[in-house]
This record gives sequence, structure tokens and C-alpha cells, in this order.
Amino acid sequence: MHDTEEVILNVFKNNSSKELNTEFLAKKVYPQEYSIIENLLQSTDRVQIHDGKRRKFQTHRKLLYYLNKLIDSKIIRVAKTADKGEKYFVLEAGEGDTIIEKGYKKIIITKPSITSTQIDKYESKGVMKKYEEDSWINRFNSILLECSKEKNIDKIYETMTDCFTNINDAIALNEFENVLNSTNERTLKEFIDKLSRETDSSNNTVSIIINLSRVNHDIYQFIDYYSKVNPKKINMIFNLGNKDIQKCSKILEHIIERFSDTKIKINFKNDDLCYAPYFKGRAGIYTFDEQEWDIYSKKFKDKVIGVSCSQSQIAININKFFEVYDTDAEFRQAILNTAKALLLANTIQRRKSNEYFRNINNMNHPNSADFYKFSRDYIRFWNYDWHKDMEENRNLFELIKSTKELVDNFCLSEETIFKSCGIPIRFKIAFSSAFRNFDTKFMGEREYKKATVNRAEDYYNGEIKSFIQIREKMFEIFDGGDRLRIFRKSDFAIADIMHELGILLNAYRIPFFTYDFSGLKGTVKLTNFM
Amino acid sequence: MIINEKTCIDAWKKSLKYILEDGSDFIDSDERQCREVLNLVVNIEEPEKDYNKVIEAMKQFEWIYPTIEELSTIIFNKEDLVIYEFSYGHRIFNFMDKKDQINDYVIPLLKSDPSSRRAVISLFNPATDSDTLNKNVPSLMFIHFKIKVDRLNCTCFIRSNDFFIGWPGNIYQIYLLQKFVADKLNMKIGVLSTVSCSAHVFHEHFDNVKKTI
Repeated sequence: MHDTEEVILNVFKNNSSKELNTEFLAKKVYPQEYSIIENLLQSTDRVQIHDGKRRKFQTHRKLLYYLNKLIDSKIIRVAKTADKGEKYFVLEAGEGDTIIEKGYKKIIITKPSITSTQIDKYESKGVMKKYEEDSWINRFNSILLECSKEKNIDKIYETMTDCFTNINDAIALNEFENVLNSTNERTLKEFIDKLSRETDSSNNTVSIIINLSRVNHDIYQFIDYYSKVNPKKINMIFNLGNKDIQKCSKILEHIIERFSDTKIKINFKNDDLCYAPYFKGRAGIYTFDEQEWDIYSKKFKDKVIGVSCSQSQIAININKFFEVYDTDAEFRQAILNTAKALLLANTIQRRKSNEYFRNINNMNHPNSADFYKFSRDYIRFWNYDWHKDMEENRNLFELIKSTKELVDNFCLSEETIFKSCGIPIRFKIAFSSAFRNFDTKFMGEREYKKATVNRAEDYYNGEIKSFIQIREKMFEIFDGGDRLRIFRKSDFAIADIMHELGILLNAYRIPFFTYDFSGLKGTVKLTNFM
Repeated sequence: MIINEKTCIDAWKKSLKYILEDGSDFIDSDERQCREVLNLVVNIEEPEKDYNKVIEAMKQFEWIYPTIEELSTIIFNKEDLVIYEFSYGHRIFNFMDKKDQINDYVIPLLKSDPSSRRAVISLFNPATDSDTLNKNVPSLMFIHFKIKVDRLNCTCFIRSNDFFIGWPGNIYQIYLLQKFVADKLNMKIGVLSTVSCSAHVFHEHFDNVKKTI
């Protein structure tokens, strides 16, 4: 593909439904030349005007040469010819995503389709947003790669980099303790360095999931190095149950000390409550259905490199929604329309799966279909604002809960319809909360209460206790996962956090929580409190 | 029970009425309440008249029905799309990546022996489908083609048939296949029959079924 053709296609990429005339295209493709032309044409000097017209003609002719090549390749077509013979061009491709490959270059163009019509009225009012609209069909949101089968860190890195082009949010490395137990420190450090560079230059995030109780190697240096590098887009998630606190106390204390020093968030998944992994992306938390994860673990885990978690996702700003719309019925209808948009997106994704995900399919061959078996779409909620008035909270719970039932029935009906017609689709929608990084512009400011904890006793006081209890209820409704974020302030001894961990694992039904030390001043030393 | 009608829409309505009135209730493995009759045979004498009308009828409801493009793609596409557990087109035209059951078997067979009773294709593959944990098994099991009085008749054996939301799509797809074979044989379309082992309707669809009939 010639560079000019690539530039032209990038213009169409941003205007995929529009008919573009030659002048518009020329301005975008040759911006510098066109700015000179415009200056010349605005001149009062006849010679300069003449020169401007001549240059304009030449530029248009040059552009038309490449446009005609794209017409010959059936990538674009002439939509109409206006007065004075000016041509308008439009993409030849149909709705959805089209991959245009010429030589070694590849461009993916998304043409808004029927999928948008279901939710465009909500999008135009700023209450709903597709995640990464440019790639919301041709990429997965998140996948999980297994480190139990493939323990070679270089091969894992290679697989990850291959997958990055198919993912627009998160990759999780499950059971990373297998790698830690079999890899030397230098290689682990190199891995962190490479991954840090890779994620810094992309929008992808990585979650490293470690079952602490199964680590049988010295990982202190690995933790130290990770804390030192402090990679912004690589999260560590520690799976542990209550019994593991005692068993893993030394390494846990080390992690708390290092991470709090460097203000790195510590993520914990409560193994006593759930078996399926949890991981973090820019958009929010991801997880799998507990029962399905059990099936996956027993029947499929050893046959594939990993598993797709989320395909497409849409966020809704609840507070803003109810500023624009009044009734619960409108909310339910909006969510149902969102489900329809996701179904239609999946339809296109299905049709082109061999094209979009060829490399992933090859990696899982001959069990390629198994990779998609447990994937879901996500509807995420933003700013659902916890009211002090419990009655209002109850109403919101009930609304989200009843809407989830509606969506589950819709998904089941659609699966039945498609399956009955010989199209055995999987269509499941998970509810979850959204992170601000889903789309900072759309999300705006956070309107949540913060759980700020100063001491272990706070977990038993009225406000924090009732806050966590509300989050417990949300975890029940958010089958796509949620996160309780504890902002830990004030001076503390490492033993305090260990004690608090015990409380959170034992006294509450919170599957996933994060300690956020960003509010701390100074550094914490183990010795300070000994 | 055998239902004989001239058109698809009449056959559909009569069958739905029969299931509602004479069916027995049960709860399926997804815990959904169904009403079912066993071994329902439906014969449509002139399917060409309205094979797509039953799909049109589905558009009045809240859900999203597969487009006719998707329905026809799925029955004719030889490619094995990995995202599906199975696809009809792949099984019909490239069974186990080996056999085009229509072009390499049914059509040559009926051309050479118009009276043959062996023109049957299988969409069921015991090697992969006979698995107790696998729920994604084709509903359409076999399709039989038979020439009678210069017309191509077609009978489809369906193991599990949601008569309200599934049958319209099935009829559309089977008709397209019947037409494809008939055209290749230079023959007119004959009777289109479905034999549904379990012809059922979900309770949650009863209101819409009643509206339809």
C-alpha cells in the first residue's frame, strides 16, 4: 500500500459513514500543500491566484490517481458527482469492521452499523459510551493466559505480544506462581522491563495473578524490582484465603512494606469466596462466571493457551442518566437496547472472527473454539452514587437487580433463537462497575464515596461497616466483578494491615479489594513499628 | 400428529395452536418451562409461496432475529467458523472437512437415479456431538431428498424444535437448500416436511404465540 493510500484510508477511518469530496480529502491528505494553495487563492495578486489554481488542479489530479487505485481495489467507490463534476467518495465496505491489507500494511476501518442505532440517542446525550469505539468489534477487551501449561517466560511474553493487537484493554497472566517458581531473577526482571515498555507504549494493561500460598521460591527480589520499576500498567493481584495470611505472612509483610512505600496499589482476591480469577483493566474489573470457570478448569484449561473474558463493553453514567430520563422503565429500556447493540456487535464479530482473530485461533488450534467458550460482554456502571438514605440505595439495588434479570432473559432468548436457527452463539452479558479510565472524558469526575480507613477499628464503625456492606450487595449483583477500594491513611504498622486483611477476608463477603496507599505521606518501614 | 397445509404460515399457526392446546408441560435443563408435543410431522405443499413470511412475522417482537443474510450464510457457508461449536453449512458442504454432501452426493445420486431413497445428508456427527457435556449439538439432524412426480420433496428431521422462534428460521434455511438442489436438478419444488421429535414452545413466549395464532 502506498503511503498516500494509507493516509486516504485513515481519513475514511475517521469518517467511515460519510461521503467525502475531493477537496475535503485533498486538505486532509496534503495539508501543507493545501495551506499554501489557500493562501495563494486568498491573495489579491492575479498571478498568485493563478498559481494557486494551478497547484490545486495538480494536487487534485495527484489525489485522484490514488483514489482511482482504491476504487479499482474495490475499497472505495464514487458515491455521487455533484455540480461542476466534483466527485464524492464513500467506503465500499459494509457495516462493521473491515480490514484492508495491501502489502505489509493493514488498516482496520469501523463503519458504524445498525449496532449504533440501538444506543445512539443515549450516546448523543452523553449518558452511554462504547469502550474504544474504533476497535470495539475487531478486538477483545480482555483475555486470560494460563501460566500453568506454558511456564517459559519468553514464550509467555511472545504470546502476549502476539495477543496485544487483538486486545483493547487487559491481559491477565493466571497462576503466575508457576513462572516465579521456575524462572531466575534476572529473567524475571527482564520480563518486567520488557512488559513495562510494551504497555507504556500501548493502551493495554496486564494483570499478574499470583497464588501466594503456591509460591515456593524466594520472590523478594522480584517484588523489590517490581516496586522499583513501578510499572503503571502492570498490576499484581494476590489470591489468598484466610489461612494463607499466616502461611504467607513474611512475603505478605514484604509486599505491604514495598508497595506502600512506592504507593503501589495492592490487589487481593479472596480465594475463600470465589474460585474464578479477578483482574483489572482500564475499563474496570474482569472475571468469569464461577460455575463456568469450574467447567473451564476441569475440561478446557489444558487444551488452550487461555480464554477470552470480555468481547465488547458499554458504560452508562447512572447519575447523568437520571438527570436526562426520569423513570426506571426508561432505564430498563436503555439497558435492553444496550444488550441489543452488544448482540449486533457480536454478530459482526462472529462473522469476521476468522479474519480478526486469526493469530489467536492459530495459537489454540485445534481447540480454537474453546477459547471463546466463556467470554461475555460487559455493561458497566459509572457514578451510581451511594446515598446516605438507605431507602434510595435499596431502590437502586432493586432496579439494577431486576434489570439484570431482564438482560439475562434476553440473552437466553437470543441464544435460543440463534441456536434454533443453526447459529450456536454464546451471548452473555455481565454487569460491573466502570473505572474512570474507561474514558476519562466521558466519565468526568467521580461522584463516589471513598472508603478511607485510618485504623483497624474503622472496619467496625458504623460508616465504613455500612459502606462495605453495601459493596457486598453490589458484588452479588455485579456478576462481572467489582472492587472495594480501601484508601489507607495515617501511620500504620505492617501488622495493622495484616490484621485488617484478616478482617476483610473473614468478616465480609468481598471477593476483590484493593489497598490504595496514595494518601500516605512519607514512607513506611517495618522497623518503625517494631 | 400430522399437519398438512398448503403454506408455511398456515402450517406454523396450526402447529403452534396444537402445541398450546395438546402439549404437556416440562422444565428443561436451563430451568425454563416448556410445552411440548412429541413427533410432530408438518407437511407444506407449496413452501415457495411464503417461505420467508414466517421470518417476517418474527420481526414484530422485541428480540433480534438473525437476518435472512445470516440465515442463508449459515446454511451455505462451507467455512468452519471457529467461534461456533458447529455450523450447518460446514456440515452440509464440508462434513469433517472431507465431504460435500450436496454437490458430491445428493445431486449426482438423484441425477443418476431419480427414484433413489438414499439421498440423505447428515448434520449430526457422533464423533463430536455424542458427548454428555456438549449442549451445542445441531437441532437439524438429517435432511432427506426424494423425487416424486417430477418434484423434489424434502424432509428434515429435527431433534429439538422451538416451534415459535426456531422453526421459522429452519423452514427458511431448509427451503433454500431444497431450492438449491431442485435448481441443480432442473426440477420444481415439491413438499417440504419437518419431523420434530420435540416440538415445543417456552411458557415465556405464550403471549406472543397467542398473538401470532
